[in-house]
Amino acid sequence: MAHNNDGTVTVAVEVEKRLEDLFGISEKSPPFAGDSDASGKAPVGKLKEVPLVFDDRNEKEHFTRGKSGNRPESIEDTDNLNDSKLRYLKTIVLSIDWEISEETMKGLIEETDRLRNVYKDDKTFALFFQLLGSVGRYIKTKKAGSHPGAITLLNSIYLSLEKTILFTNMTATERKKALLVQVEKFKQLKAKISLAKTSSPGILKEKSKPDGAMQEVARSDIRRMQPHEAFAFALEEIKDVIKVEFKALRAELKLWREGQ
Amino acid sequence: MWVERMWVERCRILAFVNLKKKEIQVKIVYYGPGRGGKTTNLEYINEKVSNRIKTEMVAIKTHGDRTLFFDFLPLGIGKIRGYDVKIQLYTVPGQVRYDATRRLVLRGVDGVVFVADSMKIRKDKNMLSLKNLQENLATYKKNIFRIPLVLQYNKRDLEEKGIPLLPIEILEKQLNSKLKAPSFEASAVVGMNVAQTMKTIISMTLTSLQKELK
Amino acid sequence: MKHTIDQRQFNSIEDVLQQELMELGTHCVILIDMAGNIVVSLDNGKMAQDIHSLAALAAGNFGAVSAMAKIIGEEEFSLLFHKGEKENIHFSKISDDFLLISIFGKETSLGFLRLKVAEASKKMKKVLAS
Repeated sequence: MAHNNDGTVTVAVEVEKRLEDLFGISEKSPPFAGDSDASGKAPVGKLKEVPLVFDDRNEKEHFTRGKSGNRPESIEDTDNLNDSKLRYLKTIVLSIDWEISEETMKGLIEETDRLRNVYKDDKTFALFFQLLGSVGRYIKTKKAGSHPGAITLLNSIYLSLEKTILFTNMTATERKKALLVQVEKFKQLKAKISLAKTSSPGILKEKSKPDGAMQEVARSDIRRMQPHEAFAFALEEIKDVIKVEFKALRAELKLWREGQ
Repeated sequence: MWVERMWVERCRILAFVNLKKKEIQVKIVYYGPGRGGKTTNLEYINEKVSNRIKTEMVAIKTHGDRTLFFDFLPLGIGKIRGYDVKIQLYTVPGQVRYDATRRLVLRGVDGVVFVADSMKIRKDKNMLSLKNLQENLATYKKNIFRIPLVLQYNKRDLEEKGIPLLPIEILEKQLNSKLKAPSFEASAVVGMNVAQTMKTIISMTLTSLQKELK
Repeated sequence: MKHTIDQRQFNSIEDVLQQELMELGTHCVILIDMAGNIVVSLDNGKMAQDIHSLAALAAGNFGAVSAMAKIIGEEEFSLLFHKGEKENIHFSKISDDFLLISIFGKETSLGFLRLKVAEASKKMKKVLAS
């Protein structure tokens, strides 16, 4: 048994003994192949003294990253809701980012309907919620068939809505402008969806919009209007758009039920 | 106390020296060409010790029973100088295509067992695998000539079945002429020298740690 | 377990992945077997990564995570997803033999990708069963 100068047993021998206990009786081992003189000495006594190279663990994760992206305009960044009425809506919108399911979309629609009622005295906010609900209904119906822009639009509407509600020093005009921006995006998405439908065989044909609505008013026309005029116009536009959407959705649902 | 000094030197590596719990973890990786017997080594060890100590082997394999990611067998060998020594035995997937995976498993390794396949037809595979080990260790700035290393010439039992094997002398010359590491002829399937290999690498690794601090 | 995919199935799978995922804006989709072999791979032409190593590691990663699930008493996890600063990676088990890996950027919502992956998975299972 190898001893240190102070008489204590070496670590190696202690380990050897411990491992022998683990394995029971030592196995009978053939001649040690590592030594040309085949003296049969225990390998421990013939160990090469190899200095260990310590690993420089710098804690950097090479294979997974946990940091979320620092998007300048992300829903996660705006967390100053406190006792805001939007708190629950926000959690739903965030959960939709992770999972689009019957449950999450139903939650979104119910909450937007509820909030539209809460804010019914403020037309701008009411319309925001109506817009959000409309997009939500579209995604809920279409699911994987939704246009990818619908999800982006949903997040955009929510962010804009949150800002207009949280930033209390925003004027009514500024809020309306923010709404108009989202309405414009909504129209653009609708145009894209219509284009996609006409270029591929689909259940729905493009419905003709109710007359009286200024369907093809150029953006420049809106810009020339007074804010209140523009808002009224946009309001009519949204109403028309929503009516058309619902009509289309109803028709699709009917066809789907007939097909069942 | 030698372990406290080890902690001071390796204080960045708190993951495996836990002063509070008085625990040391040592990582041993079994390396080598595909189908050489690395997993069989661990399976044998697991079978042998499981009636003495509570341990469970984790094996991440393909449907065809080839190692896909690693096999892992933790062994607590009890107190040494007042510290609970826990040995973590790993194997790597041997097939050539899993090089990135092997590199991943080698991270933080303290000692290596190179399981060479004694079959004549595997001669080139042994050498390629050893070279691969050297390269992968280098990515972590470890030197194959300095890390605790044991060679195991496995499948010696096949000789009596008439399968052509490389003589030990040839294997030594091909694989160990420069390394001059301790080596064992073995048969993992029947358990010959499996325990000896493991005891040697653990002793070497712990002794090396101790010597490093002196 | 041996599985063979004929040319027709291969083409159909490619079409499914193209329509459901690549057209969504996904950067790269790779269908692998559980041993890490690439069956089908499509990308947007801007990927320079070593997808063979990625495939091997992905299979190992999925295998390790599945082992973890069993340890905590779960049959399997319903979501395996890694979020990066620019690129994200999503794993989806298509069957006991196949795994779909999707690499996508910030412009794609995870929730929507999961819907599309579920759709693609349904279609691919039909193709593989035919």
